[in-house]
Amino acid sequence: MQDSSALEYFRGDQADGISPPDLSKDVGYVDHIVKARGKRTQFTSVSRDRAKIRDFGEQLYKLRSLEVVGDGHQLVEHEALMAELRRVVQSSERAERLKAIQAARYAEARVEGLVRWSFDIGGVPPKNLLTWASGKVRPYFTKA
Amino acid sequence: MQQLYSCRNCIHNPGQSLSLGQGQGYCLKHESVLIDPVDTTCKYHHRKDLPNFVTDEGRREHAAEFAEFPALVSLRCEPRKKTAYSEKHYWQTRRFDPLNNALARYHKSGAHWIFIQTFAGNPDARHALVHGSMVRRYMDHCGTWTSSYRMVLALVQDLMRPIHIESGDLHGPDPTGDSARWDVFFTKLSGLQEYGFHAGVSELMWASDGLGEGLSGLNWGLLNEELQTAGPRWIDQIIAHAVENDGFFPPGAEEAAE
Repeated sequence: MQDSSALEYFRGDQADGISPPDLSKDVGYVDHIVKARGKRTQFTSVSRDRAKIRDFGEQLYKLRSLEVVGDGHQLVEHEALMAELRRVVQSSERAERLKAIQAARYAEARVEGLVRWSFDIGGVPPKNLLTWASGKVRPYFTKA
Repeated sequence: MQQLYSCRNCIHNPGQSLSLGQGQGYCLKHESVLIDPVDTTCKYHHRKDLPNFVTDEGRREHAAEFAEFPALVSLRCEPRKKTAYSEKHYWQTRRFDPLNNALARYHKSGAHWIFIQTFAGNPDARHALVHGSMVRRYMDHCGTWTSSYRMVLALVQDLMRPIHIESGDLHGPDPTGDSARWDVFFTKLSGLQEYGFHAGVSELMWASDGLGEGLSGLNWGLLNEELQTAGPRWIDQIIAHAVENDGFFPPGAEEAAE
């Protein structure tokens, strides 16, 4: 059983709810954080610090971390994320290394963690995917 | 992190970055004051923090998202009005900013490259940011290395020198100035890498791989030591490439600068 205080994560977003992930865009941590392949991916960014992740809006939300993990989604905690980004920095070169250096810089400043959603999107028409994902992820956040 | 695609992180707004330059900005692309640069963008966005060729997929997606807007627009797709620069207004409101004042006159200046070179060698962080951004704009506009190598030589020389940060210029939560210093550094390093792309010189295109733990660990002291070795090597490579391709001060080039 994990200590719930260790899983306390926040996200600033729009008043009408959390912005949906693009569940069809499967990218790595680095590309998600530096937005090298677009602004929406299959991840949702959250932060250990409630003041440092209000890029998307002024309404503060708290992640229901235990429900996220309990329902089979993955919460990539800040420390684990930083360790992986540092590993990529050390083991890669060219574009991947450069992006990873910036990703580590941004993730550290924002005390960032990630949620990797594992919904079954089979049967969801691509044009409806964002709206569908929006309805799926919003129950995992409460207004803080 | 939507801010990465805001005007704060765009080379067309040379006087600001994610952590540097308070208040309003100025966009050279749209010739407009940026009232709220952190929540403004457009389809021509060109990131400061990474070389253009590294974020190509994201750039194209962003351009497509805002394709139907001819000019400035909020990140939530609300059109922004063009706002003409007024020196009088900024003096009246006691918010005069000499850099934005200079930038607003850029398109009225005669030789653009001479205007840009006046920012070279200035250790002030915002001036250095303007220099790096404008060299990249110029290079992107020309689309070749031949018109830019002299400006990039100056840019590399500046990379080896210390940056001075005024606390009143900082933007955002970091009061130490570290983030601002990195913003300036990456704007300039990306400029060198974009030059490497245009020139077709792999060592310059991936100049970041010529820097070791100072860059990997974001250790400014160590990085400065590495830059004292890498910088002269980059300058040698730029000159050697230009000489080899008959582009290094061809006849008449020096006279044109006099």
